[in-house]
Amino acid sequence: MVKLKIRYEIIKNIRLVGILFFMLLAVIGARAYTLQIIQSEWLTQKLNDQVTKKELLSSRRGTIYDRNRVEFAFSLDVDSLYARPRLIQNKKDAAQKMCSILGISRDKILSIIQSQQSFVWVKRKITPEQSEKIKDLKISGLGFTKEAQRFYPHKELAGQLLGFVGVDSQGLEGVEREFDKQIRGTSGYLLVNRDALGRDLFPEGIKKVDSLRGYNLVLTIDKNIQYIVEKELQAAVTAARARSGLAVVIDPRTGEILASAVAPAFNPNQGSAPGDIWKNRAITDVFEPGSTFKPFVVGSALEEGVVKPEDIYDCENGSYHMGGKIIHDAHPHGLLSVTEVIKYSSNIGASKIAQHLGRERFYNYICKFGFSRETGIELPGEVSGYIPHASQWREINLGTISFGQGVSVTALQMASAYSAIANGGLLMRPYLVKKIQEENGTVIQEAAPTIIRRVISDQSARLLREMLKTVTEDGGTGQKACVEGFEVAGKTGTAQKIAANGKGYSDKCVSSFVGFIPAQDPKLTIVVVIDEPKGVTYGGVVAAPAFSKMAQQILCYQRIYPESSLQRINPDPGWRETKDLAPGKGTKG
Amino acid sequence: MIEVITERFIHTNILARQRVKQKTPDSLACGVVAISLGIALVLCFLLFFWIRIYILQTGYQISGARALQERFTQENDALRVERSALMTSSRIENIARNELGMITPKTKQVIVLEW
Repeated sequence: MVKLKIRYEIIKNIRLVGILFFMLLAVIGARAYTLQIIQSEWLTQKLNDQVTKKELLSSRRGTIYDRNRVEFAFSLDVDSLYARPRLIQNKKDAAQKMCSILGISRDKILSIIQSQQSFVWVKRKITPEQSEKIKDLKISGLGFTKEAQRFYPHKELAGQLLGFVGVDSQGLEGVEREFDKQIRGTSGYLLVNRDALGRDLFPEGIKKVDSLRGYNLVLTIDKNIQYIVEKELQAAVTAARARSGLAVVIDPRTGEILASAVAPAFNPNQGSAPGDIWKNRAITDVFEPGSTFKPFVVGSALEEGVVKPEDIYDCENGSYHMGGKIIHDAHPHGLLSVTEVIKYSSNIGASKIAQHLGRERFYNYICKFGFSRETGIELPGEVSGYIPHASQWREINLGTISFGQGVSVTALQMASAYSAIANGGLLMRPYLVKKIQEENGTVIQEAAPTIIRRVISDQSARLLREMLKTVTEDGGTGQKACVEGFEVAGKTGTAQKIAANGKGYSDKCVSSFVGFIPAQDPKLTIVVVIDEPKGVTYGGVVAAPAFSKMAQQILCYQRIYPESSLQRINPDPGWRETKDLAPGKGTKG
Repeated sequence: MIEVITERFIHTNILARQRVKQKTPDSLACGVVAISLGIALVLCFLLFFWIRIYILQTGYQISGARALQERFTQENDALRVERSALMTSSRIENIARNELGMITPKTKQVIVLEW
């Protein structure tokens, strides 16, 4: 009986323990159900947030090359420093340590890291040296992330042309802005897991969306020509104590822009600069061309058969009444041929030719030469200039426009129009980007020379070239544009600037020289514009020498030599011992 | 009473032994299968863990390789910057003119030879 009682107790206890275990199991089951079923999604997300990191693979902007594949602009990955203010223990100490390294005041850093936000940028795109020094400080709460930094290794060279990018690598000006879509690329990402020590793991394999690198651009610009042009332009601006200067070099046969310079120069590594120093004024600013406009009235008259080079005009000894106003020449002249009107730059001669041509025809030719509309260059901010419609011209306007007053043009329009005279009468579309390529060299887009229209006949262009050659000969206004061994065709210009109040003209002026070389077979069209020179302001004195220096160096660099430099020797294997060098023909070495 | 119980116990024990004796060959086979399954299971677990560890090790290697790649990229970038800086026209002209005493030749100073 006792044993039965004991047995009953044992069974009872076993049942109790069983119930307890069952209840425990039920609790565990319920908890497991909660964790695995109800909270599964939330917990998985929480885990992923803690362990998985989406590492951004920033896209690299494409590289910008010159025509010989010299890098003009490329992107590098650099560190950007951020802070999680709540995790920084001693903020004052941290600010003190960082200020000298980052070159930011202690107070400013302190205000940044005392922010209530969970994430703040301390300084973006710091140098590798700064990054190393900050890492050595081992301050908790600071972190680094990689960002692409645009780098322009040649500093000021072609600065206004290239433009610059913003802090998020978006193109803001120049080529960078115009081709932003093509060269920007797209970002990718890499999913990584982190272990307890913060090391990267790939337990599920590499999950990666590749970033796409932007396309590369190959410009028509030649780095060395650009350098020569910028150097000589700056020298001319300094010598003339001028406000600024512009220069454009075009290959008249194709319309390729070989150089485009603005002085003072701008370094795109600095990003945006105060004022308008970053503007590519060769296309965004207009000026009154002055006498450099005369070839267009003469060219138009030649094309229309209104004049011949040897026709004589009476230049009235420097004073001519026209439309109730008096037109003056800088130097009084009597009878001048059309060629001499160009050579001596007679305003009165040009006005009379314009009168013979008539306003409608003159206006049409001005438009045919590409003025009053954009050239279509692949750059933002190009302006069209201003040519009043012929119907708005009064008698005096016909005269003043013939010598380039009362109209406004861009330096690029002038280069393009003179190129039409140089290449036999064809207006070519100026262009700057030769190729758009992938990183592996696959060409996405390639530009080719484009003829916009024929402006004048080859015969008229040839006659005009001959006339323009006389400008740089003895007695011409542009003698200082001469280049030894070559014939230069061009025209000087000195235009008064409109007064600040918009009424009449001021005593300030724009001096210019536009020409092409070699005159018999032009390879270069060069425009030099000097704004507000002091002292002697004639284009022939201020701008022509710069043209000469640029042309001489560029031709030498391009290995274009005059015929007199060419010597032919016997192709005998023992040529080294040949002393007798016979003169030969040709222009290239 | 005790004798009866003892006899029953002995009888039950004998019957149980007889049952064990009768089932011995099957039990062995079951045991072998169970052990085999157990070993296979353990091997599977070992294989699984080995693969996991191998993946982790590979992950660390990839991570290390990425760090190395990043370092090389940075070095390459630095060299690229240096090379570009060395190629600037102003620097080259400065060396040519000031250190090497070179000048831009005049047109008359250039003779182009053709043969």
